[in-house]
Amino acid sequence: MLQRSERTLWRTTTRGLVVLPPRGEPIVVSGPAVPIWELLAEPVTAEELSERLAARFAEPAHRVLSQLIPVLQRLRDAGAVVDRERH
Amino acid sequence: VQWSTVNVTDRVSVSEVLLAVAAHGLAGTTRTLPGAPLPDGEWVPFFRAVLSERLTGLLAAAVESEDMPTTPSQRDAVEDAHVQAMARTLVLERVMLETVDTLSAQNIDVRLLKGSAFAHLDYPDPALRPCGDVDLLLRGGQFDVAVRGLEATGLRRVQVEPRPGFASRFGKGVTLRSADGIEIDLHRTLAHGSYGFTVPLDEVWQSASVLRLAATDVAVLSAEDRLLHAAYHLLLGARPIRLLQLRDVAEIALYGGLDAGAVRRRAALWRAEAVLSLALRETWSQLEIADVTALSRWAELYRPSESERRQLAAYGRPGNPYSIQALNSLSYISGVGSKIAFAGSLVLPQREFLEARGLDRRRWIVHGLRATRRQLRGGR
Repeated sequence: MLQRSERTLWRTTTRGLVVLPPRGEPIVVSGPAVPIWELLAEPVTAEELSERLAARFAEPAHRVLSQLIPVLQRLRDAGAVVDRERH
Repeated sequence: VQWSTVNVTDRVSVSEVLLAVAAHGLAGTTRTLPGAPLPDGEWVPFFRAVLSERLTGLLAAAVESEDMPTTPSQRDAVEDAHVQAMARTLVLERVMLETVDTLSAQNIDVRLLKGSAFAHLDYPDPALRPCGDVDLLLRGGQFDVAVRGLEATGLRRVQVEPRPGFASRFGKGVTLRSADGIEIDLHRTLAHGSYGFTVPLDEVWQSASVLRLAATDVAVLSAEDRLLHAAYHLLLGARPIRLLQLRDVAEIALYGGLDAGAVRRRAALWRAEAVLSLALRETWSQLEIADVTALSRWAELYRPSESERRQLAAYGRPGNPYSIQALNSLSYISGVGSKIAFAGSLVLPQREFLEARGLDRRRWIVHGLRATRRQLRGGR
């Protein structure tokens, strides 16, 4: 399960989401970053995330997942998203 | 030769567009944005001013809502600038949180001022309000310990005090700077000069709101005190007035859910009624806010006393801020010993203070006497 780190700061802009993890440089996440970030407020798997986004944007879930995984990986590497257990 | 005509009434004033951006989204403003993209000759100075006035968030919102028409390249420039401003603001917020952590670990009380506090608590979206530095209020009794603690983390003081301990006893505060140029303003009080001595700091410390940011609770001023501080910053701070400062006052006054009576009582306690009324009038006038509220009506009717007028007038004058402090603050300092210590620090400051200004003692006194004479003549 993935969830945004509670120590991460962020702002929304028309270019997407500007995220500042606890360490490192700011990251700009473009595309449908704001809904991704909203969904990451609670622990969620990449598959669940892609299904919800697919429903919202009327796209096949497998296509959303393939685009989503590198974004989530980048956010996790930066420390903006962390692994969590679902309660 | 190519001839062309321009209808002068079609040309827009850059400053009028800036004010319309500063007012964009406020209920009751009659300021309007241009109906077509600005030509390059007007866009370039306009956008430069947007950057220096830190209006990128408000401009981005106006562009996104299509209230401010732009060309594709202008839109790109606005979006880029907004992303840059937000990235910078987030870095400042992280520095602020680290600073608060460092101070809290030493049991030093802190109140976050302005920037992030306004952005998160007083604006509908914090992305509308970028920050330029970090501002923290500290208790006078903990001030020097706090500065030393932060200096130990690698921060450096920007200014030398007139004498050791001056800032913690009489000054508005000090600025610390990190190796990468981030400035942290540590405030002992909320204005320089005489108004800094009449802020009821014990009362300010007793009432606080809390901003939760990145899993950290940060204490901030109460909404009433934030409005008074925004008014101080607008009228008693550096000139010229920044448009974002007008917007800060408007946001808190219009949307802060404040009780007008409570604000007026708080202003009376601060001895700040003249400042608050003038700041509200300036904000309503510059941003052309047509809506009349209980506070704006009070501000319109408030008539400052002669002594309030004199006290306020000192802030608009050019000259040495130390001579302004000396002349206008002395009567607000309690106790003969404190008055002597204050005056002595300014008349005979330490050598390092003079060296930082490229002056020796004789030139400092001559400089001070000239500035004092100008002050006594009314700033002419």
